[in-house]
This record gives sequence, C-alpha cells and structure tokens, in this order.
Amino acid sequence: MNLDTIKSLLQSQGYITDEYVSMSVFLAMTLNKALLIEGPAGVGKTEIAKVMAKAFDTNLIRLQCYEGLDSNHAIYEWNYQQQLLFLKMSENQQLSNTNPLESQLFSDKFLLKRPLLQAISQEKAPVLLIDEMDRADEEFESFLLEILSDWQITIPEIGTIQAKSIPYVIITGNRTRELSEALRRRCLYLWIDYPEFDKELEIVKQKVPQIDTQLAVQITKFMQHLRHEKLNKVPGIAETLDWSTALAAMHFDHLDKELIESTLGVILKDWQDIRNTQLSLSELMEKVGVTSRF
Amino acid sequence: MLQRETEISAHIVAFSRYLRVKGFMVSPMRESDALLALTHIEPTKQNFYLALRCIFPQNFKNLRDFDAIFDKYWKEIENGVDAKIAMAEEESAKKKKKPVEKKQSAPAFESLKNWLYGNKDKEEELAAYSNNVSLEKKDFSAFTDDDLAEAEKLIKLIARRLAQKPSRRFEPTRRGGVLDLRRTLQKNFRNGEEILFLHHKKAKPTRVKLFLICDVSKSMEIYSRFFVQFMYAFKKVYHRIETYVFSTSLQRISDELNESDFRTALRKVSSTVPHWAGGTDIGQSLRRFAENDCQQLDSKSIVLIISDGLDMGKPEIVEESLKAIKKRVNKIVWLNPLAGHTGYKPEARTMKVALPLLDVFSSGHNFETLKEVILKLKV
Repeated sequence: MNLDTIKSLLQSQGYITDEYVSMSVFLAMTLNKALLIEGPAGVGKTEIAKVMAKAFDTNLIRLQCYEGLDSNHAIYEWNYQQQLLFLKMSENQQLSNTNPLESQLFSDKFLLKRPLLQAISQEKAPVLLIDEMDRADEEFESFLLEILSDWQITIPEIGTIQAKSIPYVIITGNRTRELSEALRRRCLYLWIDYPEFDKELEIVKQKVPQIDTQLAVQITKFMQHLRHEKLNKVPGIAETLDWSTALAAMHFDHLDKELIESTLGVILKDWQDIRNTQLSLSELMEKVGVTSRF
Repeated sequence: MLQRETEISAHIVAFSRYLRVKGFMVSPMRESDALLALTHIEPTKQNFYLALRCIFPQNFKNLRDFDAIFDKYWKEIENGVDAKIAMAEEESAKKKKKPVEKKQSAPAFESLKNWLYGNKDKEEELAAYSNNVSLEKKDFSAFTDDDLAEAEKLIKLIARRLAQKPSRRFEPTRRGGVLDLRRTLQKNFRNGEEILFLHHKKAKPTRVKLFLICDVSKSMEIYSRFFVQFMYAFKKVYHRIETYVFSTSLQRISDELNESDFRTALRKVSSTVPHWAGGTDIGQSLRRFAENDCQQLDSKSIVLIISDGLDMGKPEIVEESLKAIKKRVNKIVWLNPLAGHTGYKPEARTMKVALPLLDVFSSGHNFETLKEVILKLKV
C-alpha cells in the first residue's frame, strides 16, 4: 500500500482530501500509530474515520467520549441481569453438569463487549474512532494510554485478552481541554482547517450533485467570505452542505439578497451572528460578487 | 532498528535537535518514526516535507511554527551552512539575551517588599492578614521561592473550597453516601451469589475550571513574579487550571509550569514568553484568548485576569473580547494590584470599559485580599 492508493481510496469514498491529510493517514497506518485529529467543528474530522472504514472495507467501532465516561462503558461489563436470571434458573434444575457454575457465570455469554474490547477482538483490523477525546476526564485519558500501547485488556475473571489485530485508531478533539503530552507523544497529529475555495467547491459538487454550478460557486464564495467575519460560531462544511442541499432542492440557480436573508438560519446558529450578518449583508455580497436584482 | 547511517538520517537527527531547541517535544521514537516514514514514500521534495510535517508537530502551535522552522533549516543546509553552527549561533544569542531577561524578571527586593506589605504604610496590617500561625510569624518580605510550600498549603485549603457544589453525577465513596446497588451487585458477584460487601456512592462535587491570565508587562514587573509563583503553586494543588501570561501577546504556560522546581519553571516561562517585561496590549491578548481558547470555556469556568489595566491598545477590543468571554464563562474576576492604593480610581481607559463586565474586581495585592477573592470563586 502506498500514498497514492490511500489517496484514491479516500477519494473513491467521496472524501475530498489534500496531500497533507492523505499523508497523515498513510503514515499513521504504516507506522501503526494513532492519528490525533484536531480542528474546528464541522470540518470532517469524524468523517475521516468513517471513510477509512468504508475504503478498507472493515468495521468502524466508535467510542463517543463524554464527561464521566468510565471503563464499564468503554471496555466491558458483565450482564448481571442475565447472570441473575441464569442463577435463578440453575437453582431449580438439578445440575448434572460437571462444569462449575462460576466458570459458566463468567463466560463470554454474559460479557457485554464495549467498544475497546470489541476493537481488539476483531479478526480484521477495524477502525477505532475515539470521538471527542477532550470531553472525557483526564483519568480516562491516561487509562486509554495503557491500552493504546499494550493492546491487551485484563478481565479478572477471564484473564488477559490479547489483541487479535491492532486497530487503526483515530482520535478526534475539539480542544475543549488540552490533551496531555503523553497522549500526543503516542500519536501523529493532524490539524484540519476550513477548506480553501477550490476544495470546498469540489466537496459541494460531490455531495450535492444536483446543484447548479453557478449557485455552487456563489455559495462557496459566500461561505469563504463569511468565515472571515467576526462570528461567535463559524459555520463549517456541514453548514455549507446543508445550505447547498436546501437551495438545490428548491431549484434556485443563483443567490440574491432576499434568499440569503431568509435562509441565513441554515448556516448561522447564533442569534447575534445572524443579526450582524444581516446588517453587513450588502457589503458581503459585494465581496462575493453577487449582484442584487434590485 | 536503523542500521545504516546515511546522510539523510544524520540530517533528520540534526533537524530533530533543532526542533527541540525550538520547543518541540521530539522523542527518539519520533526520530526513528520519521526515518521509517521516509522509507515508505516516494522520494520527492514535497513528500519529504509533508511526511516530516505529519510526524513532528504534536499540537496546533507546533504545526503553525513548523513551516518556518523547516524552511529555515533546509535553506541553511542549502546555503552550505552547517546546522550546528546555526544552532550554536542561536544559542549564544540566547545566552547574550538571557542575563538581561533575568535581571528584568527578578523584581527589585524593595519593590517586592513594598508589594508584599500591600502598598500600605503601616505594618500592623500584616499581623492580621492571616490566621495561619507559621505564616503569621514569618516576615512577609522574606516570602521567597522556598516558602512556596507554605503558600501551597494555604492554596490547598482554598482549592478545596473550589469544589463544593454537588453535581448530578455520582462517585464511589468509602464512608457515607447512599447505597450503590449497581456496584454492590457487580462487585459481589465476582465472589459468588452472596452479598458480602456493600458499596456506597455520593454526589460528585462540581469542580470549577480556572483560567488564570497574568500580565507580565513592564508596569506589572514587581507583581508578576509573585503571581507566576502563585499560579505555579495553584497549579500544583489544583488540576483543573490553565495558566497564561501576556504582555503584547498571549502565551499558554501550563506546560512550562509543570516543573517540580519553581526556579526551573520560572526560567522556562520567562524564556518562552516573548517581551517579558515589555509593552502591554491587553485587548489583543484577551482577544487571542477569546478566539483560541473559547472552546475550553464552559459554565463551570472562571476566568481570572491579573493586570493593572494600563495599556496602549484599544479599549474597544478589551470590551469586545471580555463580552465574548463573559458569554461563555461563569465568572470573570479581575485583580488589579494598583487598586490596593488608597484613593485608587479606575481611570485607565481599559479599566473603565472593563469594570461593568466584571463579576469580581479586587486588588489582590496581599494575601488577605487574595484569599477573599479566591473564596468567592464558586460557580
């Protein structure tokens, strides 16, 4: 596998990438390192993992982090309701079975595999997406380090489980908290920013194929300029795509002031942003080169 | 792992060293990763650059600096200048600069004493400043690095107060609390079906996230050393804290303060911060904070700004950034050591626009007032 294969594989799944992104993915895979992706919201950080899983035809296992996430939800848990039921049932039956009760009680049958355990027990290396790592507590982070370096999990009742295959790990973060040096040291770092005009246009055209070319160009230009404005919440690619889809569905072929004003809520999600943008709309439209009909 | 030393591997090693000088964390592991990576790619200039750019930076700041460093290094190689000479030159330049910096960062003893006495004429004030016996007896002017342990003790007391309000989440506890049925069943089933031990849980306290932003410009010189010390001590006992200093631009120093020895930490901080004891631009610095770190702020955060409010920048920017920050945090606290003077009026333009936006405004010029403020840091 080389750089170009990775690139074309990602492209074939509809993920428009640049050299930097594909190089990062390529190196993370060849060097067997986790890939830590940071960047503003809505630039397609999570999408990379999804696309990778599709491109390499393997499973995507996702661990969504949140405050208070613990090992019960990340690794494994015993299904104690079922265990209780099993005990009750076995009380009534005369057990001629020589198999001791306990080893039955703590067998695979009652083990609820959570994402991390699932990831290491796959035959074919899956893509393990650890989403929004910065939302989890620091304790969880250091605990995760252990698994990321050893690739084995110990369950007291069963023993140590070695990874059958080493997953491709993608960790994403929104920088709500600085991740620790120790974690960074074990990862390759990838920063994804808002895309340039050409890239964004290509994405729009790919994801919303029914869109009019002129409209696509105008929307992309508008978004590019809009991101330079002072906003509380800068719209990402997801917003561009939403807007494009909406306008394309209504069969518009160009932007005008009224249209933008009435659909601003699709791209801006903050009251003040909408207000400010409405006030400076004419200026913005001039920059974009959209001529108003009035 | 890598048997043959070729010219390129020597260069990578030299480049890694150069990066370390520039503040990158480059482990030997990463150097070998870089060399391994190069064996996997098509040997073009672009690929070479991209691969190194993927391997070496470990955070956003690194990534931003990387291009310039890369260009500089390889250009110098092209010019036939030995990288070692370049490094040596830079180091010697640093050494030349350092004594000056050191001089500036160490506040004059008299002025420090003045500050510690709270800019008040009478010394009787001091006797009442604390009910901590050992500190009470201690001559406050002798409050140096070595007394950090004492300060830490005090801050520890304070820090405990920062986590008081119960949250909706639970955490296991040994004593008290309510029965944790889930854990009780889970743990006891390990040993069979009898329930032998009970486990309890109690509500987890809501922990405040603190952001300390300290002005280290020229006008704050006599206070800044103490406040950096304060931040250092605070960081040691309280983990949910991010620390920044600014003069003309903002710099995060949380990692630099993670030293076991304060002197080393201070040296690290003053060498990484540009314009230590230089001019002030509060507006730009706060704007930088509001833009870059707003993701980290939430309703449990408190931002604590330590500055005298004297600057050359535009007050509108201060106002705007404070408003942006205020929207996201629980509280903004501003400590202005000048406010300890009797008859102080917030007449600096920056202070005037900032005041209506602050939740707490205080002097924080001695331990008593500082303590008072910190006790107010509750969400």
